Amino acid sequence: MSSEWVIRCTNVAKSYQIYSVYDHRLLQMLFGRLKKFYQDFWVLRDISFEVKKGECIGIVGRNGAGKTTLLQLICGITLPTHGEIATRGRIAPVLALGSAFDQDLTGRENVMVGGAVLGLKRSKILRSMKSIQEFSGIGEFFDRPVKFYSSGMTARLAFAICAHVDADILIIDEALAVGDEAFQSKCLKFIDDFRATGTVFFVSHSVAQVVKLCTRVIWIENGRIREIGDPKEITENYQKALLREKDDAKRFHIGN
Amino acid sequence: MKTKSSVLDVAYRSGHEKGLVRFLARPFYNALQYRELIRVVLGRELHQRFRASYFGWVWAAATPLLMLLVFVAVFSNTLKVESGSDMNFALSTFIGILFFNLFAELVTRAPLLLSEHAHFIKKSIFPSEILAWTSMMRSLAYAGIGFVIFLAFELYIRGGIPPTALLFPFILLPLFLLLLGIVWLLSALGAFTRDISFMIASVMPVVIFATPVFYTSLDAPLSGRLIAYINPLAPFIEMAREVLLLGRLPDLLSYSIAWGVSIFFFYAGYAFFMRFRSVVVDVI
Repeated sequence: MSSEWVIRCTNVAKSYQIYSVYDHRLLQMLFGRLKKFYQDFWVLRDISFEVKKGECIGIVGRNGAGKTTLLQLICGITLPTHGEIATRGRIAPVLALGSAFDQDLTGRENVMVGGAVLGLKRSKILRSMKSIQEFSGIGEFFDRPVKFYSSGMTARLAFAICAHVDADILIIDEALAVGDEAFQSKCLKFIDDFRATGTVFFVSHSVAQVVKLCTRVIWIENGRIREIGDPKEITENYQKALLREKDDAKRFHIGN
Repeated sequence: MKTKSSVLDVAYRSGHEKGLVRFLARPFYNALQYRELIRVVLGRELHQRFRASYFGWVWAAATPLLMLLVFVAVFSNTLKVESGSDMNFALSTFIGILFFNLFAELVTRAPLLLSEHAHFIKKSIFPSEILAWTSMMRSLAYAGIGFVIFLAFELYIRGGIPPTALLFPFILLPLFLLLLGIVWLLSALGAFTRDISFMIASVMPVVIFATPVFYTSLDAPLSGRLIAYINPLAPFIEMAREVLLLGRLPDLLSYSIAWGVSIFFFYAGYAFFMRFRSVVVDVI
Protein backbone atom coordinates (compact mmCIF):
# COMPACT_ATOMS: atom_id res chain seq x y z
CA MET A 1 0.00 0.00 0.00
CA SER A 2 2.69 2.44 0.97
CA SER A 3 4.08 2.47 -2.55
CA GLU A 4 0.84 3.88 -3.96
CA TRP A 5 1.30 7.45 -2.79
CA VAL A 6 0.76 10.22 -5.30
CA ILE A 7 1.78 13.11 -3.08
CA ARG A 8 4.36 12.86 -0.35
CA CYS A 9 5.52 15.72 1.83
CA THR A 10 8.39 15.21 4.22
CA ASN A 11 9.24 17.88 6.79
CA VAL A 12 8.16 20.63 4.48
CA ALA A 13 8.67 24.18 5.65
CA LYS A 14 8.18 27.43 3.83
CA SER A 15 9.28 30.86 4.84
CA TYR A 16 8.57 34.04 2.99
CA GLN A 17 11.21 36.69 3.08
CA ILE A 18 9.84 39.87 4.58
CA TYR A 19 11.71 43.01 3.69
CA SER A 20 11.45 46.19 5.69
CA VAL A 21 12.70 48.12 2.68
CA TYR A 22 11.45 47.14 -0.74
CA ASP A 23 14.80 47.48 -2.46
CA HIS A 24 16.51 45.08 -0.12
CA ARG A 25 15.10 42.43 -2.42
CA LEU A 26 17.52 43.49 -5.09
CA LEU A 27 20.41 43.60 -2.62
CA GLN A 28 19.45 40.14 -1.40
CA MET A 29 19.35 38.88 -4.97
CA LEU A 30 22.79 40.24 -5.75
CA PHE A 31 24.65 39.84 -2.46
CA GLY A 32 22.53 37.13 -0.82
CA ARG A 33 25.53 35.00 -0.04
CA LEU A 34 27.16 37.67 2.07
CA LYS A 35 24.34 39.01 4.17
CA LYS A 36 20.71 38.41 5.00
CA PHE A 37 18.56 41.44 4.28
CA TYR A 38 15.20 40.05 5.35
CA GLN A 39 13.21 38.58 8.20
CA ASP A 40 11.71 35.14 7.88
CA PHE A 41 7.99 34.67 7.97
CA TRP A 42 7.32 30.99 8.52
CA VAL A 43 4.10 30.09 6.79
CA LEU A 44 4.48 26.34 7.08
CA ARG A 45 6.57 24.15 9.36
CA ASP A 46 7.08 20.42 9.76
CA ILE A 47 4.47 19.36 7.28
CA SER A 48 4.62 15.64 6.60
CA PHE A 49 1.94 13.49 5.07
CA GLU A 50 1.26 11.04 2.30
CA VAL A 51 -1.70 10.97 -0.02
CA LYS A 52 -2.79 7.84 -1.81
CA LYS A 53 -4.46 7.52 -5.15
CA GLY A 54 -8.22 8.05 -5.07
CA GLU A 55 -8.26 9.97 -1.83
CA CYS A 56 -9.96 13.29 -1.41
CA ILE A 57 -8.07 15.39 1.06
CA GLY A 58 -9.77 18.36 2.66
CA ILE A 59 -7.76 21.14 4.22
CA VAL A 60 -9.29 23.30 6.90
CA GLY A 61 -7.82 26.10 8.95
CA ARG A 62 -8.19 29.75 9.73
CA ASN A 63 -7.20 32.57 7.41
CA GLY A 64 -3.45 32.76 7.11
CA ALA A 65 -2.90 29.27 8.47
CA GLY A 66 -0.99 28.33 5.32
CA LYS A 67 -3.59 26.42 3.33
CA THR A 68 -3.05 28.14 0.03
CA THR A 69 0.71 28.07 0.42
CA LEU A 70 0.53 24.33 0.95
CA LEU A 71 -1.43 23.96 -2.27
CA GLN A 72 1.06 26.18 -4.11
CA LEU A 73 3.90 24.03 -2.85
CA ILE A 74 2.24 20.84 -3.99
CA CYS A 75 1.67 22.34 -7.43
CA GLY A 76 5.29 23.36 -7.60
CA ILE A 77 4.40 27.01 -8.10
CA THR A 78 6.66 27.98 -5.23
CA LEU A 79 9.51 25.98 -3.75
CA PRO A 80 9.76 24.78 -0.14
CA THR A 81 12.43 26.34 2.05
CA HIS A 82 13.14 23.01 3.72
CA GLY A 83 11.94 19.49 3.17
CA GLU A 84 10.80 17.64 0.15
CA ILE A 85 7.66 17.27 -1.87
CA ALA A 86 7.21 14.48 -4.35
CA THR A 87 4.25 14.06 -6.64
CA ARG A 88 3.26 11.46 -9.20
CA GLY A 89 1.05 12.36 -12.12
CA ARG A 90 -0.26 15.48 -13.74
CA ILE A 91 -1.51 18.24 -11.49
CA ALA A 92 -4.28 20.63 -12.43
CA PRO A 93 -4.07 23.65 -10.16
CA VAL A 94 -7.38 25.33 -9.70
CA LEU A 95 -6.21 27.88 -7.18
CA ALA A 96 -8.54 30.78 -6.55
CA LEU A 97 -10.73 30.06 -9.51
CA GLY A 98 -11.31 32.72 -12.04
CA SER A 99 -8.77 35.14 -10.71
CA ALA A 100 -6.59 34.37 -13.70
CA PHE A 101 -9.31 35.43 -16.12
CA ASP A 102 -8.71 38.31 -18.41
CA GLN A 103 -11.55 40.74 -17.84
CA ASP A 104 -11.63 42.07 -21.40
CA LEU A 105 -11.79 38.70 -23.09
CA THR A 106 -14.96 36.70 -23.54
CA GLY A 107 -15.64 33.51 -21.67
CA ARG A 108 -14.79 31.50 -24.77
CA GLU A 109 -11.46 33.27 -25.19
CA ASN A 110 -10.66 32.81 -21.55
CA VAL A 111 -11.28 29.11 -21.95
CA MET A 112 -8.61 29.09 -24.66
CA VAL A 113 -6.12 30.95 -22.47
CA GLY A 114 -6.99 29.07 -19.29
CA GLY A 115 -6.86 25.73 -21.04
CA ALA A 116 -3.46 26.50 -22.52
CA VAL A 117 -2.15 27.59 -19.13
CA LEU A 118 -3.38 24.31 -17.69
CA GLY A 119 -1.43 22.54 -20.42
CA LEU A 120 -4.19 21.52 -22.79
CA LYS A 121 -3.65 21.24 -26.50
CA ARG A 122 -5.56 23.66 -28.69
CA SER A 123 -7.36 20.88 -30.51
CA LYS A 124 -8.44 19.34 -27.24
CA ILE A 125 -9.79 22.65 -25.93
CA LEU A 126 -11.74 23.22 -29.13
CA ARG A 127 -13.18 19.74 -28.89
CA SER A 128 -14.33 20.25 -25.31
CA MET A 129 -15.59 23.79 -25.87
CA LYS A 130 -19.23 22.81 -26.22
CA SER A 131 -19.13 20.61 -23.20
CA ILE A 132 -17.43 23.36 -21.17
CA GLN A 133 -20.12 25.80 -22.19
CA GLU A 134 -22.80 23.34 -21.14
CA PHE A 135 -21.16 22.54 -17.83
CA SER A 136 -20.80 26.22 -16.96
CA GLY A 137 -24.46 26.85 -17.75
CA ILE A 138 -23.96 30.57 -18.34
CA GLY A 139 -25.70 30.56 -21.71
CA GLU A 140 -25.08 33.54 -23.95
CA PHE A 141 -22.72 35.15 -21.49
CA PHE A 142 -20.17 32.61 -22.68
CA ASP A 143 -19.47 34.97 -25.58
CA ARG A 144 -19.48 38.18 -23.54
CA PRO A 145 -16.47 39.76 -21.82
CA VAL A 146 -15.82 38.35 -18.39
CA LYS A 147 -16.01 41.82 -16.82
CA PHE A 148 -19.79 41.68 -17.23
CA TYR A 149 -20.05 38.40 -15.29
CA SER A 150 -21.37 38.03 -11.80
CA SER A 151 -19.00 36.36 -9.36
CA GLY A 152 -21.10 33.21 -9.54
CA MET A 153 -20.81 33.10 -13.32
CA THR A 154 -17.05 33.53 -13.10
CA ALA A 155 -16.79 30.62 -10.70
CA ARG A 156 -19.01 28.50 -12.93
CA LEU A 157 -16.84 29.12 -15.96
CA ALA A 158 -13.67 28.48 -14.02
CA PHE A 159 -14.88 25.20 -12.63
CA ALA A 160 -16.15 24.15 -16.03
CA ILE A 161 -12.63 24.54 -17.43
CA CYS A 162 -11.11 22.51 -14.64
CA ALA A 163 -13.65 19.78 -15.12
CA HIS A 164 -12.24 19.25 -18.61
CA VAL A 165 -8.58 19.04 -17.76
CA ASP A 166 -6.89 15.67 -18.01
CA ALA A 167 -5.18 15.41 -14.68
CA ASP A 168 -4.32 12.89 -12.04
CA ILE A 169 -4.42 15.36 -9.17
CA LEU A 170 -6.99 18.11 -8.93
CA ILE A 171 -6.21 20.96 -6.59
CA ILE A 172 -9.10 23.22 -5.66
CA ASP A 173 -8.86 26.31 -3.50
CA GLU A 174 -12.15 27.65 -2.12
CA ALA A 175 -13.72 27.09 -5.49
CA LEU A 176 -17.31 26.48 -4.67
CA ALA A 177 -17.90 29.29 -2.24
CA VAL A 178 -19.84 31.54 -4.61
CA GLY A 179 -21.77 29.06 -6.74
CA ASP A 180 -25.42 28.42 -5.95
CA GLU A 181 -26.64 25.15 -4.46
CA ALA A 182 -27.53 23.63 -7.80
CA PHE A 183 -24.13 24.33 -9.28
CA GLN A 184 -22.37 23.24 -6.12
CA SER A 185 -24.00 19.87 -6.18
CA LYS A 186 -23.01 19.50 -9.83
CA CYS A 187 -19.41 20.25 -8.88
CA LEU A 188 -19.48 17.93 -5.90
CA LYS A 189 -20.75 15.16 -8.11
CA PHE A 190 -17.95 15.86 -10.55
CA ILE A 191 -15.33 15.72 -7.81
CA ASP A 192 -16.80 12.48 -6.55
CA ASP A 193 -16.61 10.96 -10.03
CA PHE A 194 -13.12 12.30 -10.55
CA ARG A 195 -11.89 10.29 -7.59
CA ALA A 196 -12.43 7.09 -9.54
CA THR A 197 -9.35 7.92 -11.58
CA GLY A 198 -7.58 10.61 -9.64
CA THR A 199 -6.86 12.36 -6.40
CA VAL A 200 -8.39 15.56 -5.11
CA PHE A 201 -7.01 18.23 -2.81
CA PHE A 202 -9.68 20.53 -1.56
CA VAL A 203 -9.59 23.69 0.53
CA SER A 204 -12.88 24.97 1.84
CA HIS A 205 -14.36 26.92 4.69
CA SER A 206 -17.59 25.02 4.30
CA VAL A 207 -17.43 22.21 6.83
CA ALA A 208 -20.51 20.59 5.34
CA GLN A 209 -18.82 20.23 1.98
CA VAL A 210 -15.63 18.89 3.49
CA VAL A 211 -17.49 16.22 5.44
CA LYS A 212 -19.55 15.25 2.42
CA LEU A 213 -16.67 15.02 0.01
CA CYS A 214 -13.43 14.16 1.73
CA THR A 215 -11.97 10.89 2.85
CA ARG A 216 -9.42 12.56 5.09
CA VAL A 217 -8.96 16.02 6.51
CA ILE A 218 -5.87 17.98 7.41
CA TRP A 219 -6.31 20.75 9.92
CA ILE A 220 -3.60 23.36 9.65
CA GLU A 221 -3.00 25.90 12.34
CA ASN A 222 -0.23 28.48 12.42
CA GLY A 223 1.60 26.65 9.69
CA ARG A 224 1.64 23.27 11.42
CA ILE A 225 -0.58 20.24 11.08
CA ARG A 226 -2.74 20.25 14.17
CA GLU A 227 -4.78 17.20 13.38
CA ILE A 228 -5.12 14.80 10.50
CA GLY A 229 -7.64 12.02 10.01
CA ASP A 230 -11.34 11.31 9.81
CA PRO A 231 -13.34 14.22 8.32
CA LYS A 232 -16.21 14.16 10.78
CA GLU A 233 -14.06 14.01 13.87
CA ILE A 234 -11.59 16.65 12.79
CA THR A 235 -14.08 19.16 11.49
CA GLU A 236 -15.93 18.84 14.80
CA ASN A 237 -12.76 19.53 16.74
CA TYR A 238 -11.97 22.38 14.38
CA GLN A 239 -15.34 24.01 14.87
CA LYS A 240 -15.13 23.64 18.62
CA ALA A 241 -11.71 25.24 18.56
CA LEU A 242 -13.05 28.11 16.51
CA LEU A 243 -15.65 28.83 19.18
CA ARG A 244 -13.22 28.44 22.04
CA GLU A 245 -10.26 30.29 20.60
CA LYS A 246 -11.65 33.63 19.48
CA ASP A 247 -10.32 35.55 16.51
CA ASP A 248 -6.92 36.73 17.60
CA ALA A 249 -5.69 40.07 16.27
CA LYS A 250 -2.06 39.17 16.94
CA ARG A 251 -2.20 36.03 14.82
CA PHE A 252 -0.21 37.33 11.86
CA HIS A 253 3.21 38.11 13.22
CA ILE A 254 6.60 38.11 11.57
CA GLY A 255 9.74 36.51 12.90
CA ASN A 256 10.14 33.56 15.21
CA MET B 1 1.49 9.41 -26.14
CA LYS B 2 3.58 10.22 -29.17
CA THR B 3 4.57 13.79 -29.78
CA LYS B 4 6.13 15.36 -32.82
CA SER B 5 9.86 15.14 -32.56
CA SER B 6 12.13 17.59 -34.23
CA VAL B 7 15.79 18.29 -34.69
CA LEU B 8 15.76 20.33 -31.51
CA ASP B 9 14.00 17.58 -29.67
CA VAL B 10 16.64 15.11 -30.67
CA ALA B 11 19.44 17.55 -29.95
CA TYR B 12 18.03 18.13 -26.51
CA ARG B 13 17.61 14.48 -25.65
CA SER B 14 20.87 13.31 -27.13
CA GLY B 15 22.56 16.18 -25.35
CA HIS B 16 21.87 14.32 -22.18
CA GLU B 17 25.47 13.40 -21.66
CA LYS B 18 26.88 16.55 -23.18
CA GLY B 19 26.27 19.50 -20.90
CA LEU B 20 27.03 22.16 -23.46
CA VAL B 21 24.70 20.89 -26.16
CA ARG B 22 21.97 20.63 -23.60
CA PHE B 23 22.62 24.13 -22.36
CA LEU B 24 22.55 25.54 -25.87
CA ALA B 25 19.44 23.67 -26.95
CA ARG B 26 17.43 24.29 -23.81
CA PRO B 27 15.93 27.75 -24.49
CA PHE B 28 14.74 26.66 -27.93
CA TYR B 29 13.51 23.31 -26.75
CA ASN B 30 11.64 25.05 -23.98
CA ALA B 31 9.93 27.47 -26.37
CA LEU B 32 9.03 24.61 -28.68
CA GLN B 33 7.56 22.64 -25.83
CA TYR B 34 5.28 25.53 -24.87
CA ARG B 35 4.48 26.72 -28.37
CA GLU B 36 0.74 26.32 -27.88
CA LEU B 37 0.84 28.44 -24.78
CA ILE B 38 3.03 31.05 -26.48
CA ARG B 39 0.55 31.22 -29.29
CA VAL B 40 -2.43 31.71 -27.01
CA VAL B 41 -0.76 34.30 -24.77
CA LEU B 42 0.44 36.19 -27.83
CA GLY B 43 -2.98 36.07 -29.42
CA ARG B 44 -4.53 37.36 -26.24
CA GLU B 45 -2.17 40.32 -26.10
CA LEU B 46 -2.58 41.31 -29.72
CA HIS B 47 -6.30 40.95 -29.45
CA GLN B 48 -6.59 42.79 -26.19
CA ARG B 49 -4.76 45.87 -27.40
CA PHE B 50 -7.35 46.72 -30.02
CA ARG B 51 -10.41 45.18 -28.52
CA ALA B 52 -12.33 48.28 -27.57
CA SER B 53 -11.48 50.24 -30.71
CA TYR B 54 -13.26 50.62 -34.03
CA PHE B 55 -10.27 50.79 -36.28
CA GLY B 56 -8.08 48.25 -34.53
CA TRP B 57 -4.96 47.63 -36.53
CA VAL B 58 -5.28 50.90 -38.42
CA TRP B 59 -3.96 52.65 -35.31
CA ALA B 60 -0.91 50.46 -35.27
CA ALA B 61 -0.18 51.49 -38.84
CA ALA B 62 -1.07 55.14 -38.28
CA THR B 63 1.88 56.01 -36.05
CA PRO B 64 4.71 54.90 -38.35
CA LEU B 65 2.87 56.23 -41.38
CA LEU B 66 2.45 59.69 -39.86
CA MET B 67 6.01 59.65 -38.66
CA LEU B 68 7.35 58.85 -42.09
CA LEU B 69 5.21 61.55 -43.71
CA VAL B 70 6.48 64.12 -41.24
CA PHE B 71 10.06 63.03 -41.85
CA VAL B 72 9.71 63.37 -45.56
CA ALA B 73 8.04 66.75 -45.26
CA VAL B 74 10.54 68.14 -42.77
CA PHE B 75 13.74 66.74 -44.16
CA SER B 76 13.05 67.51 -47.78
CA ASN B 77 12.46 71.20 -47.09
CA THR B 78 14.45 72.38 -44.12
CA LEU B 79 17.42 70.17 -43.37
CA LYS B 80 20.09 69.82 -45.97
CA VAL B 81 22.05 66.72 -45.36
CA GLU B 82 25.38 66.26 -47.04
CA SER B 83 25.47 62.55 -47.66
CA GLY B 84 22.95 61.40 -50.23
CA SER B 85 19.61 62.90 -51.07
CA ASP B 86 17.02 64.23 -48.65
CA MET B 87 14.69 61.35 -49.23
CA ASN B 88 17.43 58.94 -48.35
CA PHE B 89 17.88 60.76 -45.10
CA ALA B 90 14.20 60.48 -44.27
CA LEU B 91 14.17 56.76 -45.05
CA SER B 92 17.43 56.19 -43.23
CA THR B 93 16.10 57.94 -40.14
CA PHE B 94 12.91 55.94 -40.38
CA ILE B 95 14.88 52.70 -40.22
CA GLY B 96 16.63 54.00 -37.14
CA ILE B 97 13.33 54.93 -35.53
CA LEU B 98 11.80 51.54 -36.28
CA PHE B 99 14.65 49.73 -34.59
CA PHE B 100 14.76 52.12 -31.71
CA ASN B 101 11.01 51.89 -31.10
CA LEU B 102 11.14 48.11 -31.16
CA PHE B 103 13.95 48.18 -28.63
CA ALA B 104 12.34 50.88 -26.48
CA GLU B 105 8.97 49.17 -26.30
CA LEU B 106 10.50 45.87 -25.25
CA VAL B 107 12.90 47.33 -22.74
CA THR B 108 10.33 49.61 -21.17
CA ARG B 109 7.90 46.77 -20.72
CA ALA B 110 10.34 44.08 -19.65
CA PRO B 111 10.75 45.04 -15.97
CA LEU B 112 6.98 44.96 -15.49
CA LEU B 113 6.47 41.84 -17.54
CA LEU B 114 6.32 39.42 -14.64
CA SER B 115 4.09 41.47 -12.38
CA GLU B 116 1.80 42.07 -15.35
CA HIS B 117 1.31 38.31 -15.55
CA ALA B 118 1.37 37.71 -11.81
CA HIS B 119 -2.08 36.13 -11.89
CA PHE B 120 -0.79 33.37 -14.15
CA ILE B 121 2.51 32.90 -12.37
CA LYS B 122 1.07 32.73 -8.89
CA LYS B 123 -2.11 30.81 -9.59
CA SER B 124 -1.01 28.18 -12.04
CA ILE B 125 1.99 26.22 -13.17
CA PHE B 126 3.08 28.83 -15.65
CA PRO B 127 6.43 28.75 -17.47
CA SER B 128 7.21 32.43 -17.07
CA GLU B 129 10.24 32.24 -19.37
CA ILE B 130 7.91 32.18 -22.37
CA LEU B 131 6.81 35.74 -21.63
CA ALA B 132 10.02 37.02 -23.21
CA TRP B 133 9.07 35.25 -26.45
CA THR B 134 5.51 36.55 -26.49
CA SER B 135 6.64 40.03 -25.57
CA MET B 136 9.16 40.06 -28.39
CA MET B 137 6.74 38.66 -30.95
CA ARG B 138 4.18 41.26 -30.01
CA SER B 139 6.63 44.09 -30.51
CA LEU B 140 7.77 42.53 -33.76
CA ALA B 141 4.22 42.53 -35.05
CA TYR B 142 4.07 46.32 -34.63
CA ALA B 143 7.54 46.82 -36.03
CA GLY B 144 6.49 44.67 -38.97
CA ILE B 145 3.70 47.09 -39.85
CA GLY B 146 6.22 49.93 -39.85
CA PHE B 147 8.55 47.87 -41.98
CA VAL B 148 5.92 47.21 -44.63
CA ILE B 149 5.20 50.94 -44.77
CA PHE B 150 8.89 51.59 -45.16
CA LEU B 151 9.18 49.18 -48.09
CA ALA B 152 6.14 50.71 -49.76
CA PHE B 153 7.64 54.18 -49.45
CA GLU B 154 11.00 53.11 -50.71
CA LEU B 155 9.36 51.49 -53.70
CA TYR B 156 7.28 54.57 -54.38
CA ILE B 157 9.96 57.20 -53.88
CA ARG B 158 12.94 55.45 -55.37
CA GLY B 159 11.20 53.13 -57.77
CA GLY B 160 12.81 49.99 -56.40
CA ILE B 161 14.17 48.04 -53.46
CA PRO B 162 17.79 46.85 -53.64
CA PRO B 163 18.12 43.05 -53.97
CA THR B 164 20.26 42.94 -50.85
CA ALA B 165 17.03 43.56 -48.91
CA LEU B 166 16.53 39.80 -49.17
CA LEU B 167 19.36 39.47 -46.67
CA PHE B 168 17.47 41.51 -44.09
CA PRO B 169 16.12 38.44 -42.22
CA PHE B 170 19.68 37.33 -41.59
CA ILE B 171 20.32 40.61 -39.85
CA LEU B 172 17.16 40.25 -37.78
CA LEU B 173 18.03 36.79 -36.55
CA PRO B 174 20.84 37.79 -34.17
CA LEU B 175 18.79 40.85 -33.17
CA PHE B 176 16.00 38.57 -31.92
CA LEU B 177 18.43 36.66 -29.77
CA LEU B 178 19.85 39.88 -28.37
CA LEU B 179 16.42 41.27 -27.55
CA LEU B 180 15.25 38.04 -25.92
CA GLY B 181 18.33 37.98 -23.74
CA ILE B 182 17.80 41.59 -22.69
CA VAL B 183 14.13 40.97 -21.89
CA TRP B 184 14.98 37.95 -19.72
CA LEU B 185 17.59 39.91 -17.87
CA LEU B 186 15.45 42.97 -17.25
CA SER B 187 12.28 41.10 -16.40
CA ALA B 188 14.02 39.08 -13.70
CA LEU B 189 15.64 42.19 -12.25
CA GLY B 190 12.44 44.19 -12.56
CA ALA B 191 10.55 41.69 -10.41
CA PHE B 192 12.83 42.51 -7.51
CA THR B 193 12.87 46.28 -7.73
CA ARG B 194 10.78 48.94 -9.40
CA ASP B 195 13.89 51.05 -9.82
CA ILE B 196 14.81 49.19 -12.97
CA SER B 197 11.59 50.30 -14.57
CA PHE B 198 12.02 53.93 -13.47
CA MET B 199 15.62 53.94 -14.55
CA ILE B 200 14.76 52.73 -18.03
CA ALA B 201 11.97 55.26 -18.38
CA SER B 202 14.35 58.11 -17.58
CA VAL B 203 17.27 56.78 -19.61
CA MET B 204 15.37 55.96 -22.79
CA PRO B 205 15.08 59.56 -24.13
CA VAL B 206 18.85 59.84 -23.82
CA VAL B 207 19.52 56.49 -25.41
CA ILE B 208 17.86 57.61 -28.63
CA PHE B 209 20.71 60.10 -29.12
CA ALA B 210 23.31 57.51 -28.23
CA THR B 211 21.87 55.35 -30.99
CA PRO B 212 22.53 56.18 -34.63
CA VAL B 213 18.91 57.07 -35.36
CA PHE B 214 19.24 60.63 -36.66
CA TYR B 215 22.77 60.13 -37.91
CA THR B 216 24.96 57.27 -39.03
CA SER B 217 27.97 56.31 -36.98
CA LEU B 218 30.15 57.25 -39.92
CA ASP B 219 29.06 60.89 -39.76
CA ALA B 220 29.36 61.11 -36.01
CA PRO B 221 32.37 62.64 -34.30
CA LEU B 222 34.77 60.31 -32.55
CA SER B 223 32.93 60.34 -29.21
CA GLY B 224 29.70 59.56 -31.04
CA ARG B 225 31.30 56.69 -32.85
CA LEU B 226 32.59 55.32 -29.57
CA ILE B 227 29.09 55.34 -28.08
CA ALA B 228 27.76 53.65 -31.19
CA TYR B 229 30.27 50.86 -30.76
CA ILE B 230 29.18 50.22 -27.19
CA ASN B 231 25.50 50.39 -28.07
CA PRO B 232 24.51 46.87 -29.11
CA LEU B 233 21.67 48.21 -31.22
CA ALA B 234 23.90 50.40 -33.41
CA PRO B 235 25.45 47.74 -35.67
CA PHE B 236 22.00 46.36 -36.48
CA ILE B 237 20.71 49.74 -37.59
CA GLU B 238 23.78 50.33 -39.71
CA MET B 239 23.57 46.90 -41.30
CA ALA B 240 19.86 47.30 -41.99
CA ARG B 241 20.56 50.61 -43.75
CA GLU B 242 23.20 48.99 -45.86
CA VAL B 243 21.04 46.15 -47.13
CA LEU B 244 17.75 48.02 -47.32
CA LEU B 245 18.85 51.42 -48.64
CA LEU B 246 22.37 51.37 -49.95
CA GLY B 247 22.24 47.95 -51.58
CA ARG B 248 25.54 46.95 -50.01
CA LEU B 249 26.57 43.86 -48.16
CA PRO B 250 27.31 44.50 -44.49
CA ASP B 251 30.84 44.20 -43.24
CA LEU B 252 31.43 40.57 -42.35
CA LEU B 253 33.42 41.43 -39.26
CA SER B 254 30.72 43.58 -37.69
CA TYR B 255 28.13 40.97 -38.64
CA SER B 256 30.12 38.30 -36.81
CA ILE B 257 30.59 40.54 -33.80
CA ALA B 258 26.85 41.22 -33.74
CA TRP B 259 26.22 37.47 -33.66
CA GLY B 260 28.75 36.98 -30.90
CA VAL B 261 27.29 39.71 -28.71
CA SER B 262 23.75 38.50 -29.35
CA ILE B 263 24.50 34.90 -28.48
CA PHE B 264 26.22 36.00 -25.32
CA PHE B 265 23.25 38.14 -24.22
CA PHE B 266 20.78 35.42 -25.19
CA TYR B 267 22.30 32.69 -23.06
CA ALA B 268 23.34 34.97 -20.23
CA GLY B 269 19.82 36.39 -20.05
CA TYR B 270 18.22 32.96 -20.14
CA ALA B 271 20.53 31.53 -17.49
CA PHE B 272 19.96 34.54 -15.27
CA PHE B 273 16.20 34.33 -15.63
CA MET B 274 16.05 30.60 -14.95
CA ARG B 275 18.22 30.98 -11.89
CA PHE B 276 15.76 33.39 -10.30
CA ARG B 277 12.56 32.07 -11.79
CA SER B 278 11.48 30.07 -8.78
CA VAL B 279 12.23 32.91 -6.38
CA VAL B 280 10.29 35.43 -8.43
CA VAL B 281 6.97 33.83 -7.48
CA ASP B 282 7.45 34.92 -3.89
CA VAL B 283 8.25 38.54 -4.64
CA ILE B 284 5.80 39.66 -7.31
